[in-house]
This record gives sequence, C-alpha cells and structure tokens, in this order.
Amino acid sequence: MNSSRRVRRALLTWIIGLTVLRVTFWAPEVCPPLTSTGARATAVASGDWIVANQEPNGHYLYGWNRNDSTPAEDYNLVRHAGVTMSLYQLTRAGEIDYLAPADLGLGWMLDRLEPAGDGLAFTDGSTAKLGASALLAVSLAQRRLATDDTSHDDALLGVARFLRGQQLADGSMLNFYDLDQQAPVPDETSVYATGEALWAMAMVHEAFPLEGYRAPAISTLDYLTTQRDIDEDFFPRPWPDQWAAYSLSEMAEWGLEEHHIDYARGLLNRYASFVRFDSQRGSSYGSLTHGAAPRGSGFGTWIEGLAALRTVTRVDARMADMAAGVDETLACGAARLAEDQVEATASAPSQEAGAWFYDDFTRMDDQQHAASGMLGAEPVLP
Amino acid sequence: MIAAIVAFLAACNPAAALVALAHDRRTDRPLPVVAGAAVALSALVVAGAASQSILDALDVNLGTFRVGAGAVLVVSGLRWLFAGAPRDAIEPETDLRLAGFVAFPTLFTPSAAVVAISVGAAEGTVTVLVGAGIAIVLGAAGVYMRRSVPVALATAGVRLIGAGTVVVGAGLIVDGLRTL
Repeated sequence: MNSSRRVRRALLTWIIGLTVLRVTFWAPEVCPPLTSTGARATAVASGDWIVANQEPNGHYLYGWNRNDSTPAEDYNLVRHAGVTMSLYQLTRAGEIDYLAPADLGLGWMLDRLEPAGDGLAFTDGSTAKLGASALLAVSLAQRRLATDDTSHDDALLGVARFLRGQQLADGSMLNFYDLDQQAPVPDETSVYATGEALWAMAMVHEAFPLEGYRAPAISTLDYLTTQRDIDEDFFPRPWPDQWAAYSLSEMAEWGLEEHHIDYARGLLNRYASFVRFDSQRGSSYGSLTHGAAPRGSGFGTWIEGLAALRTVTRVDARMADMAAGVDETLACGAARLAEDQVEATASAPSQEAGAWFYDDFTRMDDQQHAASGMLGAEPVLP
Repeated sequence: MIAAIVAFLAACNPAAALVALAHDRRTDRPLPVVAGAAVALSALVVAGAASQSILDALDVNLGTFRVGAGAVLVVSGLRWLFAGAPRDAIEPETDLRLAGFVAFPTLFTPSAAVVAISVGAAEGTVTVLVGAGIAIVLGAAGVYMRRSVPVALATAGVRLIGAGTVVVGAGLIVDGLRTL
C-alpha cells in the first residue's frame, strides 16, 4: 500500500473515531445553574406535593397517572415511612410548616405498631417488614432532633429493639418478622432494609448512647461494607445504597475503619459516575445517545448519597481528597434533578405541581428522595 | 509511573511499528526515523501538557474521558488481536515523507494520544514524557530494525500486545468509572 494512502486512511479513522466519541462517551457534561435558594424552593415544592395530597388520617397519595388523572391503587409502608422521614428532614431544615403533616403521617404509623418479640414493629398484616420499622425509627429520631420532644422515646426504643432482634451474628439483617409465630422469618434479607436498619440503629445510638446500639450498628456496618453486596449478588459493586451513605455520615465521627472508608470511597465514585453520565443527557443530542433520565426517586437517591458522603469527606481525613470533587458533582446533580420538576404554578393540579414524572407517572418517593437530596445539596450551592 | 509506561506500550504497540513499512527496500535512513519519533513524542507530550485544557474544551471530567479513552484502547487492541497490524506501506521516497509517516500514523496512534491526555491530567507531563518516550523509542527502533525481525514474529507480537491493549483499555474504563 502507498504510504500516502495509508496516512489518508488513518486521518479518516481519526475523524470518524473522534466524532463517534464526541456523541457517545465524550458528550459534554452539562450542569445548569442552581442556587441554594432554588434548591430549597425545589425541596419545598416537593414537600408541598406530599402535603397537598395527604389524607386527613395521615395516609399519603401513593402515585398519580397524569395521562388519565388517576391515583395509583397500591400502597407501601416502607415508602410511607420514608416520605414521613423526609417531611421531618424539611422540618429540621427550618420548614416548620411540615411538622404537623409529618406528625399526621407518623400517627398513621404509630397506630400500626404491633408487639414483635421484645420490641414494636410497624405493620398492617401478619408479617412485619424490617424497612418499614427502620424508617419509622429514623422518622422518630429526625423528629426528636427537630423538636427536642421526647414524648415518642418509648416508641422509638421499642422499634429499635425490634430492629436489633432482626440482626444475625454476622451483622446481616433479616427482612421479615412473623407476628403469628412471634419470630423472625429465617434466610430472607433485603438489600434496601439492611442500610435502612443500620441508619436507624446509628441514629438511636446518637440519641441514646447508653442503650447499647453502637456495637450492633458497627456490626451491620461491617457486614454491609464487606459482605452484603456479595451475598445479594450485586455487580459491579458497591451497590448504590444511599441508606448506607446516610449511615456512614451518621457514624463518621465514631471513627471509621479502613474497610468502611474503602467502601465509602467506592460508593462516592459510583454516585459521581451516575451524575456525570446523566449530565451528558443535557447536550442537544444527549437524550438520544444516553437514553431517558431516571425517575425522580432514583436520581434523588444519588443526590442524597452524595450529600451524605460529603459529610464523611469533611469529617474523615482519609476522604478529604474527595471533598472538592463531591461538591462539584453534588451541585451538578442537584441542578439536573431540579430541572425536571413540574413547576408549582397556580394552574398546575396539586397531584402534579412539584412532582417528578416518569412515563407520566409519579410516586410519592419521587418527591421524598428529591426533597431530601435537595436539602443535602444546599451547602454546596451558591 | 509503571502503570503509565505499560499503558503507553500497549497504546503504541511497538510491534506494529515493526510491520508498518514493507521490507522491499534497502534504504538505511535512521535520521528520518529519529525525526519522526521526535515529532510523535513531542505531539504526545504536548497532548499531555494540554490535557486539562483539552478536557475543559470537551466539557468532560477526567473520569468520563477515561471511559472513552479505554474504549479507544479496547477497539484498537481488538483490531490488533484479531486482524493484526494494518497492511504494510511502501517506504516513502523522501526523508520528509518517511519522517512524517513514522510520526503519523505509525507512532502517534489514537490510543497513544488518549493515553497521553489521560496520564497528563492525572500524573503530569513528566510521566507522559517518560512513558511515551520509552514506547516511542521502542517503536522507532522497530521501524529502523524491521528487516532483522521475522515478519511472523512481529505479527505475533502485534497480536500479543493487542491482547494487552484490550486489558489496559478495560482497566482504564473501570478506572474512569471509579474516578470522582
């Protein structure tokens, strides 16, 4: 072959290759502007969606189809507890108007507490799910921090005892409790509930340091950071678990071990890669090459996770090198998430204003995770 | 530093330089080969030095860039592994053209360029100079001494290094995903 021809071919390969890379892997990362005031407004609009659609007995609107203007028929106790928790987070952030609706949602849960072993479990059937009780405990702990009110301490400690009763020797957590048999259901775990229970136990230890929840929390943290993702067959690891991030944030001042830090670094990088990939959807052709954005709940959990791990970068020197990067990524992710919220205008129906829709459907945890994430992102925004 | 040297060796594939030019001439022109190698090395060092500006111009984070860079290496490696090196070219008549051909496309490969930017952004220009320098010198030596190496051996080397390029590329992708 003639060398000039070979050079021309190589040049053509470069041009085609660079073009393909530019529209795929190297699509520009677009981060819209967002201020802390804007983030707060976004979180408040999310909270308003939850409250505007709450029933007088504390029950929330689970989901809404905007195509045919119909509510979702099902319900989920874990998500009820999570939504209540986010209302208490808003209250802790100074939005005290959310305390009354949060207490309504809390009352709905307290009405469904059942004796389980030596503790109390939140359930509406004969089986209690770990995650529902864990997030009830977190809600109670958040309320205690927001109000300094100790009137629900007995309930909080009762639920905490139930959580501890679900723990196995290796730190893993059983997901179900059979109320008829008065015993945990063996061999069934949940990827979500392990982190939820861990966060709850960590918060209970913070509130009641003499009640003995430090050791169980560390045991579950050890399990979660070293074995959970293997047992649950996740790959690539770590599984993006914002509950684990919240837990690490809560426990950072206790003194984390090296394997906790390794996990935290991996988790932070995981969330960052999600946000970077999503930011590439912001280019003119990004939605074609990078697909549709995830639902609000999924995106919100990334922001929650990043915000929680940001705390760890501030507290633990072994993660200090990630502090600047996490701020940048968190700001970008929050701004991207805020863009997709339905604007809360006077003409927008209450089931749509402030919500995130995916395939014309919104679910209450879309607003929950987005609100929590936005509150966590505020410190990094101008 | 070791990782950077390995990455540059995988990206430049010095064995491919052994078979870039046909064996049909008895020219002995070391100067254009040295000049071409110097140009290729300079281009890689400049790419490494300008890495942050390039990332800024592309509006991408280093992690994102590395994922794409890894894909370039994987594709190049797979090509070397399964199809071998591109067909050899007839040695250019003039020294200038020979030097140009040695610089591009023989030594300044797409894989080497993306590795230079990636290494430059993370480890600095000196690492690029050393890593690329070793790979380019080996490649240039290959171009010059191609007649003393059996074609079959060189072709096997191209495929072997190609397999390594795939591994390095996959590693770069994973690293990119793990970069904040």
